[in-house]
Amino acid sequence: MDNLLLMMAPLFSSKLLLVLFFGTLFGLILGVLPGLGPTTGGALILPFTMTLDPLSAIVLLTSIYCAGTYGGAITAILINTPGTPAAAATCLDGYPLAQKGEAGRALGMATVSSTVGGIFSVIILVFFAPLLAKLAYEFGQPEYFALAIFGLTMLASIGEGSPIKNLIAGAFGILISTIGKDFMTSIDRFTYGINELSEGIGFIPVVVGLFAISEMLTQSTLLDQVFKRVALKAVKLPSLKDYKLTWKTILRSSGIGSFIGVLPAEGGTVASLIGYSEAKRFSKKPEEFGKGSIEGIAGAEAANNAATGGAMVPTLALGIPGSATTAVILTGLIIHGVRPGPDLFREQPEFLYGIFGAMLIANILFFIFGFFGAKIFARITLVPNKILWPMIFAVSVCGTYSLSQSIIDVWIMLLFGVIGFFMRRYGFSVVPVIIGLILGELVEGTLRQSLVIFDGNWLMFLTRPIALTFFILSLIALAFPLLRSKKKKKYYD
Amino acid sequence: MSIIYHLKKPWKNEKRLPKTFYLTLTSFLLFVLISKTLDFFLAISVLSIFVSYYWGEKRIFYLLLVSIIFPIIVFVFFETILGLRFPPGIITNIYYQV
Repeated sequence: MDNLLLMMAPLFSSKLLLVLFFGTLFGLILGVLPGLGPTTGGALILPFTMTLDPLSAIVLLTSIYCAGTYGGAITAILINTPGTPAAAATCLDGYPLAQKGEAGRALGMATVSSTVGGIFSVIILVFFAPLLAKLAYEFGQPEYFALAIFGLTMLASIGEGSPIKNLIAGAFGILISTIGKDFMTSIDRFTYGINELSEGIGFIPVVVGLFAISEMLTQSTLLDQVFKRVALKAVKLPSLKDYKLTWKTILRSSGIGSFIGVLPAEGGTVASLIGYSEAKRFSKKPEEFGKGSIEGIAGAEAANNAATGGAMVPTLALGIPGSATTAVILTGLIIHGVRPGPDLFREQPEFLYGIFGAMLIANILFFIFGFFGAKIFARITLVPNKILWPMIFAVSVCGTYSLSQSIIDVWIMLLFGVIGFFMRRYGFSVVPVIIGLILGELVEGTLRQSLVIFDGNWLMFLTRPIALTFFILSLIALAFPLLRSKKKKKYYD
Repeated sequence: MSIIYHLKKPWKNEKRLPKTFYLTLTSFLLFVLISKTLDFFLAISVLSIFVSYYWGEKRIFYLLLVSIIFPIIVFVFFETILGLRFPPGIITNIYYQV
């Protein structure tokens, strides 16, 4: 009961309500604009959060996360271009349905299923995060090491793209995390005499570079691209027939999305793809998928929004990001002096339940904004790239500079922009780099401290049941793509 | 070996990059050069006008918007609200009255 009251706290604070309002609005705009999204937006807004108290700052970031994930559906349905990668599966049926003159119905279903998925995942978050945090009290350094390794191997199992490319990108992220002072010996590593690198490479320059600047370079190659826009009169609430057809799909995808979100390093994109394919598998009319199936939209959208709450579970309970955007939120927590983990649940329940409540309200707010304003938000895509991207560049540069007032950070951002562009061009996802960068420090720190505890005996890891479980799960995660490809081959043979 | 096998010619790519990509990349180099030698704010303006122009924007108002008006708004916002001090340069020194 006390926790429920704590969750309602944002409703009684005009400041938090205002933050939620602007966060949701900003998140929707970011989600609608192809190439931008909650991860880039969160990274760009991070410097601005320094003017806010920790709760308002994290409420702002989480509302951007929730609304941005939904916003991608608007462009996916109306212009066949996912505003965010998590909305890619929505294009498959959203756009064909819109072409049939039912854009309002498609958007209505996307809005309802996103809201249900989002609220479902917040409920999961409220019940599951404290349980995981309780379990985390049993964790020592070896268990955290094994968990971080599990998070990294998950990149291979169900991440986007090629498993090996994802692992290489993750390893690259870990390599970047080793730049700077060795935390045990204080000796500079890979700094090549550049003093500014002694403190290591900041998370924000890498995120802004890999997402915003690399996208700017990508947009520079797509200038002759013409979007075909489908007209939208108004968003329509789903009919009773549509509800009857999709309620099972929405609930199933909400469950799938929440589960995928909880897994370390996996996010909305994977959730929506699995949610979509499961919707097709269970559908009575699978032949309609890809041609404008309302179940396809419901399956993808409920799953990607359900992943938001799920991804917050390991982020808050363990300090391990559940997705790329939660990695940004994790950075936000750290720069505001909040240390995620089990102690946070014991010491600052009002802070945590404030976030849970804010996420719940954000899901309701984006429903209202989406329902009444989708037509206006869709018009944002009319801002030409030749005007939009130079402006984003100016904000990226100033935002990156502002965190540590270092021009070197800006150059690092540009360098990672170029690296990110070529990674994408050759089929590497940039998300594993971010996960590797975040987990790298944890992997190295916990490994070295564990080895000190074990007196250098590696085999001692296997005497810890929780660590051993994570290692076995890591092996399964690594073997999973191999098994999956063999199963696929057998299926096609 | 298995890694090499799995990657299967990772550098193979059928499409050549357009001229605008190289111009955008050049503008980044120009940004680094100007921000290092002349002024951080000037570097943002030069990059913005360069990119916007080569991406196809020829209308003077919009070029001024992206290269001067918007960077000034961003500059003032960061300077006043976040209390940020930008690195010294020929334009920022005028603002800071150095």
